[in-house]
Amino acid sequence: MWKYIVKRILMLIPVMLATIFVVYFIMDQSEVDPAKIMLGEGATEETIAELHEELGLDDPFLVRYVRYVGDLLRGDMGNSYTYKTSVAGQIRERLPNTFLLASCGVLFSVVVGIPIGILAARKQNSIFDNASMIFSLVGASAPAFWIGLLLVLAFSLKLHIFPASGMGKGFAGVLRSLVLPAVTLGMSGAATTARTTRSSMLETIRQDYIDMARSKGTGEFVITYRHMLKNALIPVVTAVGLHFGVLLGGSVLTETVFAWPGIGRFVIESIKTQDIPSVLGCVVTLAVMFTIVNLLVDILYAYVDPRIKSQYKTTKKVVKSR
Amino acid sequence: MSMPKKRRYQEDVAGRGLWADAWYRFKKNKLAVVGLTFVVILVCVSIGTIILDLATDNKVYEALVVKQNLSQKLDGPSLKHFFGCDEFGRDILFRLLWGTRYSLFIGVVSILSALIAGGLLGAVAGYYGGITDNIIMRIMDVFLSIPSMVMAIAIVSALGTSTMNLLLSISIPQIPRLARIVRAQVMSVKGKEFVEASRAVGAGDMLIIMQYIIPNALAPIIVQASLSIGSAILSIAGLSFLGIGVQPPTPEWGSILSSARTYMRDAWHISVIPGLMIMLTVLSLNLAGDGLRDALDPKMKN
Repeated sequence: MWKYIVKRILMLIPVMLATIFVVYFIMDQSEVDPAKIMLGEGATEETIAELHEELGLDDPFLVRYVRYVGDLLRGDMGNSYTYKTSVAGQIRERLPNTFLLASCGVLFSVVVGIPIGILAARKQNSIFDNASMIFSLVGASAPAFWIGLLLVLAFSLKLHIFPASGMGKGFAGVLRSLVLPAVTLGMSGAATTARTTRSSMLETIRQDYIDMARSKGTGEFVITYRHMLKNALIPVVTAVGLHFGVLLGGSVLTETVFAWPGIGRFVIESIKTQDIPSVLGCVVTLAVMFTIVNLLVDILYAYVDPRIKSQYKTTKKVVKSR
Repeated sequence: MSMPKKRRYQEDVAGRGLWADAWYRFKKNKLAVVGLTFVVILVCVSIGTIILDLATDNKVYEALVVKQNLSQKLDGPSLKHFFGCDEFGRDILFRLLWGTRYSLFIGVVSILSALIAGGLLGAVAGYYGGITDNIIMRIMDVFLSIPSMVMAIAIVSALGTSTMNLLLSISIPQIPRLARIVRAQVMSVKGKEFVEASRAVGAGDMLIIMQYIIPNALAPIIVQASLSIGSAILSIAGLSFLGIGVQPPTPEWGSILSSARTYMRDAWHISVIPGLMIMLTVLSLNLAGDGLRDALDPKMKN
């Protein structure tokens, strides 16, 4: 197991470098001149050229990329044009909020999606099954930000239960303001998780070992949770992991709807003020977050599915018999 | 399908090709037919409004969709305005009808271009295998490790907001997803006997790929592409909602919603109705896509 984890972590390094390369390349296509923005309207050609020289903006792309990665390793993402402070600081301030929101979104989609999927599969073709499949179809088709707007209409403006925007103070306040954004963010995840769980459960229901367990006299509860769920969960883990990327993208929308002080809202603000280093920093952070989550999912996957783990076991050399 | 019908079904099938057969199965799926019908209506609406604009030199468009009428600002749904009016007194129904084209055409064109690029890369990777495959797919993996919405935001913010850049930003993140599927299909078809036979009679790589491999690998690719259009439409609406997609006063569905948040207290209909429209469109596309999958590959149905 440890060998597998170490191998995966080592593989992460080139992937991250390449990811940052792609992001840096895309952002490099921007025609905004950083020097002009930093110096403001009254800048002369000369001062602009000087600043170019000073910041090394005219260096070849690869040189700038290597420098950016080097700075990144030291936790430096450059300075924001609008805030005049370090981008890393701005992101560090907002990252916990985004992380909190995203985790609660995943939590919602798992806690709602998996039980619905299990029940739907256990009672295949029942009313509950049909209702849950309608839920999963609609949930996956509705734009997340629209669900957010509907929730605000219902629970903030009509019922006054939860705040419509911002982040509350104190533990209870944060919790109260977290509910609507987390549900918004987790909705499509809940829908896909329910669907994956259901079809994966239906596949295991037909396996021979389930009949075997039943004929041994094992109770239905134990069959469902021990024998079926454990095997059915493997594709679900993959689906949830893959969905985390959608969720990080969705957090940009959700944070905008609810004015949640996270990276997603920061990136949109920065785009509007043409604050390229901030946008770059945010995108890099989100991409790196996604690769790390993917790694964790792969490790979890190996834990759930012993067949993967066994490939990396330090096997004793088997002497081939002649 | 019940047992007694089976024989008749097989007789029916005898004279039909793959596509006619798939259509026969598709028609039996009520939800898929409803989805397809709705999509066809939307396509007709968008083509109809485009023709109307061309015929009247945008006069109808100006009068119904863009012209502000502040006396009926934020009016709720009524007999005169079925879906109510927005903050400038413009009829939301007309804005939605005229907005259909953006979601549909940007969605379709972006997925088609992603399909061409991803298909080519996937086919080459799957067909040649070895180092070529490794290089192409590792690059695709890197693209996959950036969430598609995040990449779209990066592209739009670097290139600026325009319809063309929106199209690019929706299309590029889809390339690796489609490339993967094409590659898997090509790899499974590549080993079949008929491919070997055509190589034995001297067919070149290009001919084999074009004539034998792609047609045989097409079904799952079409299914995936049709399902991707739905998620592309969601991304378009999302980016426009954020103000970095299609720009106002163009009546794109997502951009109608972006102003809704400000007027939520006074006019609930602006936030509810355009979203409903997006949801119905994506839902129909998903239903039709699911139906297509079941029709083309009955084995995949659970």
